[in-house]
Amino acid sequence: MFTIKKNQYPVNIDLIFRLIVILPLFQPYLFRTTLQLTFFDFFNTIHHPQLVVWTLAGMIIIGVLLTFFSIAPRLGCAFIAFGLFITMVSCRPCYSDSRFYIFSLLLLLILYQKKYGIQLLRLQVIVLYFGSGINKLFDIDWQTGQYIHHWLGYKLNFLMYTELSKRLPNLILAQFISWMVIGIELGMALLLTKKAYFRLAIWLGIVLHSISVVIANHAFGSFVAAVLISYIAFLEWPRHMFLYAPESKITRLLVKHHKIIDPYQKIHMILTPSNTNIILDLDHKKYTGISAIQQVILYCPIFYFLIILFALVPGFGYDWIKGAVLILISFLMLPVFRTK
Amino acid sequence: MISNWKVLLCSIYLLAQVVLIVSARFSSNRYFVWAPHDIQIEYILDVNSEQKTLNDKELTERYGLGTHGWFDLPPDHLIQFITEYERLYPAAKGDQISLKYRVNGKDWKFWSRSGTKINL
Repeated sequence: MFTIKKNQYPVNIDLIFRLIVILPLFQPYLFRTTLQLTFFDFFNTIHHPQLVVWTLAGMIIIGVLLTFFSIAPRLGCAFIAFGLFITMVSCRPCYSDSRFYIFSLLLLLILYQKKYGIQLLRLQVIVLYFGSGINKLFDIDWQTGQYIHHWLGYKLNFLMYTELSKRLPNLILAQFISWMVIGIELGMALLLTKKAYFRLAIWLGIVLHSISVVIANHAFGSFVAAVLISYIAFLEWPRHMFLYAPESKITRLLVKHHKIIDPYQKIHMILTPSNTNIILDLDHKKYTGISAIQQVILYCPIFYFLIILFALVPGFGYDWIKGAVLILISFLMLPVFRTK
Repeated sequence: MISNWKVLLCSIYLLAQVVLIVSARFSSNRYFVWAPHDIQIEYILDVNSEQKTLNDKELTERYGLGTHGWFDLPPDHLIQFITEYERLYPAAKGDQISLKYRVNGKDWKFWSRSGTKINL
């Protein structure tokens, strides 16, 4: 029941397909009631805007089903991308970079080709951070720290910032944070040009976005979730994974339900006598103890489904918990990011 | 041939984003240029239509904005919402509109229909 239907995509790309399509379902624009202040006059001539809105919502839902259940992933993504695009251009107040990012990822997935691997998705992530960094770099309020000072000190009323900045010369702390953010964003764009630095770049990205969620107590719609999903492209799944786990109640339960944890059935679990150590064989490279567990988590699709669902569910005023959990996970996984 | 066509399309799409990012340096446009939450506008919008002050719900129906709030795109985009609505519904041109806003916590500014921006 839980086994994922095999298709032509590598696991990381298949996972992006299935995760990215969940995002529009959590957005209120899907059930928007009318077209509003459109980018193109054509939309203003439509006599039944309500019908258009519901048609788009229907298209997106069908697209989600086609992609998530791998019935016709590319067609499903095309439905969602079309729906999102029309939603964006038919409503100026509905515009957001998260919607645009989801649309871009969908477009690149539709045109994905195995022989070019993740190159185009990688370029999209580079363009995102390049654009974001450049915009801040040339903004006088980012250079002087005025933006950060206002955002943290006034809009968010972030107590730790207010108290610390009082003890330091005018705007120094805000300037430090501003330049750190600019440095990380432009640095990520640069680091992602070389394979050797992918892991560092991704780790920096997770930390940057998680901290911003904690500080803002706001998950920025589906933006953080969309960005995290795009990072999965950089994770290459091993060809062979053999997990030798000591027999216990927990491991027996994991073997029984391993299709839920690993629907792609990439991890082969072998129970060993209870007094032995846990060993993970990843393409003939062996990991033991905690590092084996970390690697197993990293290659468990269910881990990503849980994180993304966790990032998307309403926070009811406690969105900072989402960021805190992400920071914790990123630090727990730090040794994994250092390997290879 | 088809695969090259796909790569070409993706490359054009990515290149177009870079062009938009660069062109945004010379204009106030922040749509499709990856500038998420790079600006914080605090605004107070007051619209009087037929001697009645519009409430939050009515303003949201018009502009997708409330009477007081935050906006994370440049003020020109905010003003565009108002002018665009008037272009579509000329009857709204008779309304009295007062928009007060400040960018990233700096001085309050005032926008009037004539298009003039006044520093308060």
